[in-house]
Amino acid sequence: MTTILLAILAAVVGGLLYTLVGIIPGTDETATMVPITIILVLAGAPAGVLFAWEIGIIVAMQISHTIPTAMSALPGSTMAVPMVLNCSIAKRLGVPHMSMRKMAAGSLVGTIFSLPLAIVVALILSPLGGIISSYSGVIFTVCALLIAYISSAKWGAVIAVVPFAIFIQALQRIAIEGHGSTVFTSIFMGITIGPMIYELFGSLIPSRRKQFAKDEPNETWLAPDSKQKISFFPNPFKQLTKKQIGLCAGWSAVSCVGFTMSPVGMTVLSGEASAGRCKELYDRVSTCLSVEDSTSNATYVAGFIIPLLGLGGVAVGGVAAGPAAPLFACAPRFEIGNNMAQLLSVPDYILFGIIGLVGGALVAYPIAMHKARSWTELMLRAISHEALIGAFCGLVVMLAFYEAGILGVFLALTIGLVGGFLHTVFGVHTGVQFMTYYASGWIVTKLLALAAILV
Amino acid sequence: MKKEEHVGKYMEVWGDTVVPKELAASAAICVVLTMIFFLGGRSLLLGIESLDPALAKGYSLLVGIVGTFLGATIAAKKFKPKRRIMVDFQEENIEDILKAAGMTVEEEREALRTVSPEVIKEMEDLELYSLLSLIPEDCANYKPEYRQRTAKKEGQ
Repeated sequence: MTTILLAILAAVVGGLLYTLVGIIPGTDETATMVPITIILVLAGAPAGVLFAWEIGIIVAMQISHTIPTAMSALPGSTMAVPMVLNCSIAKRLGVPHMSMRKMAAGSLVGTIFSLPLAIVVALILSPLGGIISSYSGVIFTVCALLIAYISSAKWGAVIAVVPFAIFIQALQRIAIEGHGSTVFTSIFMGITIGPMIYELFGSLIPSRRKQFAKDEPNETWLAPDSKQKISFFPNPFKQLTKKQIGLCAGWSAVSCVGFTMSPVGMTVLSGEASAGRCKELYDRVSTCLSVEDSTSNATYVAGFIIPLLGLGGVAVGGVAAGPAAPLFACAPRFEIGNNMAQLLSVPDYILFGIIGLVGGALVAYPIAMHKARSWTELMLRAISHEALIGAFCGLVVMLAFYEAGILGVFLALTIGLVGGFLHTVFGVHTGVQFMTYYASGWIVTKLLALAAILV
Repeated sequence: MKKEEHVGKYMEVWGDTVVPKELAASAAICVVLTMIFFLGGRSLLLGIESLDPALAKGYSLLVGIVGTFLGATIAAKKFKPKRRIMVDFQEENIEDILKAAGMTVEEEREALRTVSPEVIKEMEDLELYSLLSLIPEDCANYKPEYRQRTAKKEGQ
């Protein structure tokens, strides 16, 4: 009973917090969700509470990231990037509030469809769970290579997987020497902050500084509010046309089957495919937006639940290896083979999933429907980017220090510089790097075995 | 005398503009406050004997977050956002918008012919007369009032 109350609390508090995070333009899901989730895991929160928390923050952020996207065509998070073009068209037509409502409703509809669908797909896959976890090394390597190939760096990223794996394992040997065991958080947070470290590092180099410097601050356009009246918690299904609901359901199913795919990739695909079915401009813009946000939510829910319930807790895919990673591996409490998957039963997934869905939507959905403009303006005017990055630096340093003392901070900065370089200059994005982290143990063991034969 | 090269005041970090010095100060404030709260909380909690040391360490992370929020609040108060917010809104030519979406007026006209009544209803609610007035006269979706509305709007 206390677990249920705690789960409700976690979902509502998480929902409120990540509603605010989602409104801040450009915040990355993994970077913002991982630190606080790690803290909850290490503070010993029960598995059900953690599950409700994760679903709650996913739902809240996927709804509230639509707010700046619709109101000023700035992506509210990484997942909102595919929606920017259609949002800018809607804004030019003078109906940004329409795009916001369509996306927020689509987002909820997508979660409602994908929660049961993901559990069903997971149950179908679960007999394979044991086999899959015994081959997890190979599976991680194949996934890393696959994600690398579909990134913009193509074969370059595929080739980069091997040296990056060696680099990670080399750092792990240093961690063993200095700290006594391998590290997880320091490396994971290091990869996450990589792009930022690279930019800051570049600003220290005179010949590079010019490239990063700017004379003028960014300009942001904010659309006016709508005059239409709506109820406090409007039925999301009534906000969409029948065709849109159908497409949302279809793409939720596709997302569940293709849960290992990149969530952004799947979202782009769903939008393009839906656009092909709509010839008329308004129809196209509104349908694309509802289906895209529905799909981005469904890929998150599926990518989180299926590896847990279906694959026995092997972190396969962009969500399990990204925003939800601490629930799969977070030393010393969780590791592959001994994590959330072993602590939850099917009724738990349903119960805590619903708690998370309701808790997350309770705060974010009414705000998206009613307060979109005023909250966006407040966030843009009151919270400086400096404060945001500062807070993030504080969290990263604390988490790395918690894990391995000052050595953890050094390791995080080292991997951040190398990873940030690969991400920003060559397009070997952080998703490839996260997957390579999981594959690195197996890759290096095989390389050592090969080296022993070919002397 | 060597002329100093002009370097802009602002810098783009993580998708938005910041002033480098203020960013450094803000990061320092947050890191220091977080670590003070974390380390202070840890030594305090580890002193409580009835508390499991592993849990005490976990809880000290929560104490550390309080420091982070405090630091961020100070930084947000001290350093104002560098964004320039534009609020005014101008109505745009429908042809330009269609072009931005990769369409022509003729394509839109034809597409409006077959669009479902459900969609037309939504467009009416949103008062999208710039699009509705493009509906050809010889189809079921056409209503003369759409064009009267745009004419009225333009006349104002």
